[in-house]
Amino acid sequence: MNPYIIETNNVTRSMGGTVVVRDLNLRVKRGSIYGFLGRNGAGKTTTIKMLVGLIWPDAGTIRVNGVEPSQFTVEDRWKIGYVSERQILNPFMKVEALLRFTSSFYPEWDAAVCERLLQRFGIDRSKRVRALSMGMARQLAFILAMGQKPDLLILDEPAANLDVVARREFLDEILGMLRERETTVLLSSHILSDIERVADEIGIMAQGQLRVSESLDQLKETVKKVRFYNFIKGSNGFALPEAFQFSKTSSEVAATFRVNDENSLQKLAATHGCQYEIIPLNLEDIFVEMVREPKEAA
Amino acid sequence: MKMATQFWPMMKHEMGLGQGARMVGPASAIVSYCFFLGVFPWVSLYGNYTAHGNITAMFEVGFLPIMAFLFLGGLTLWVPWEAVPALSQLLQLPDQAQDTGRWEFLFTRAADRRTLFRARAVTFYLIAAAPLLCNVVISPFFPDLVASPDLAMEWKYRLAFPGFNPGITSPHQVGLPHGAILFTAWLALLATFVFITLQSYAVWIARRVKGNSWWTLIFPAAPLLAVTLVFILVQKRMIHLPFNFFEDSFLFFATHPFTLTLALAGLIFVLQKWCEQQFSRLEID
Repeated sequence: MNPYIIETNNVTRSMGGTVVVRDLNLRVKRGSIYGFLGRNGAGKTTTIKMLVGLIWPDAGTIRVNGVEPSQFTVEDRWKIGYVSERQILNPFMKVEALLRFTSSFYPEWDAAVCERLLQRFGIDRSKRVRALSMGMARQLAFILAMGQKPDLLILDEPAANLDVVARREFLDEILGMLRERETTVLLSSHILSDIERVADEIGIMAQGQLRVSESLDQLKETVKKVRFYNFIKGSNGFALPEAFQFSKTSSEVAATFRVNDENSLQKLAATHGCQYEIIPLNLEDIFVEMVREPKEAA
Repeated sequence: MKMATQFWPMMKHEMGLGQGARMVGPASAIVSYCFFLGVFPWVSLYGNYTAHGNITAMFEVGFLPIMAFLFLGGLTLWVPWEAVPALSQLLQLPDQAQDTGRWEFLFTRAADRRTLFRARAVTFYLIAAAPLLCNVVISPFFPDLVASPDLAMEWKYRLAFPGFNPGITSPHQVGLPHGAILFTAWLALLATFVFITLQSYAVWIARRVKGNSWWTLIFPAAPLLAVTLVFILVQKRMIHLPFNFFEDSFLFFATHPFTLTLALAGLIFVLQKWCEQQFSRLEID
């Protein structure tokens, strides 16, 4: 079996004459929770839409569960769940009717899980969708995706409209359940603390390109912000072309870059006759350092 | 799970059953529409002071073009709304967001898009064409039709109605055997033809209408604008049609009722398949 449930090769897509996604090579391992990050307009939602077969790429190939999304059959869709950023459920249907309607598309509908989650989130089956709060409607969209027992669940901003407590409970509940089932989750969110808590792998998109795709642990281990100071001969000759961010004054240099082992850092400091200190970065810091425009070219 | 089993849930959904308040507005509009569509052929034929069951007089009154225009206007709103996803982004209606979400929701379920489109077409036939078909069924019980064609048209009536019976009520009128059946069947056929053509057109333009480009609204509106333009030009006598569209097409249908009905059935089959195929490949931006 292919270890990757999602595979894209040099995928490019334009919208309204602008290239939104460029040469995207995304790999998502089966059973992982993949945090998909990027600023607004980075191309995340366009990528997700291509993965679920709402739009097609202009160039390149996509395989989701081994199938090109434009060729998805009904059977292929049984195993792909999707909760979109703007998905608004039919407000005029009752929760019960919406569950029944959605379940009619899936032969292995998990009514027990739906019931459990409805109770857990306190959603009344007899209410119409429009009578639910936005957060509850979002939870209901999740429940509908969970009911189909997907192999792959794609969540675009799943925790929008939820307060902090509800968001945490919600993610713990849902993701716990998904881990039990070994469901692969592609999770796009602006709330990086959520991603940091749950994701195994991280992909960061910027300007339509995938800048990073690796395990969260590896990312946190290797991407460092380092301050170089106490230069004996000044910082003039100091350059780091591979740095994500680089700023320099006559007496100090701050740079965010990959440090594969500390020896290389020591060598670098020795070469330039300076001292250094490593500033710890969490995922949010790493993300900001990687996607914002560089302060100064190295 | 067989795809066919998806049809009924989709039909129910498309008909708005179980959606409470959502359907109050549309339902009242649909009931009014069905009533209007159901009674208008009879009102125009027998209730009209000029016509009194005289089909030639009815054609001269000009009631049909107005009805056809209203029918086309209704379809121009309805059909593209069901076939062009970007329309709900362009038209900022109060439930615009819901409608965009509805498309996305349905297109990302394990729902067969072809079946969904078929459910939409069947919904049309159930709602919009049913009154016309009902009229065909009850038409044998209605009074006979007569005509009073001028000399130029008389041969066409003779061709269309072999049992053409001159002077049945007066020297200037002729009886039309099965005239009411043919008239109502012609209306149903015409309406169905307009629908299937407009549906195919809507599917064809669906990729060309962009959610962020206002000028692309011209595509769904084009049939109505074209008909309006022709209507104005004819009224202003700037163009002259060499035939009377309604009377001539009625007589043509009356001459070849079975052939045309079979041809329409074939056309529906082919175009419906094509539409379903195109619809299944639509993008939702």
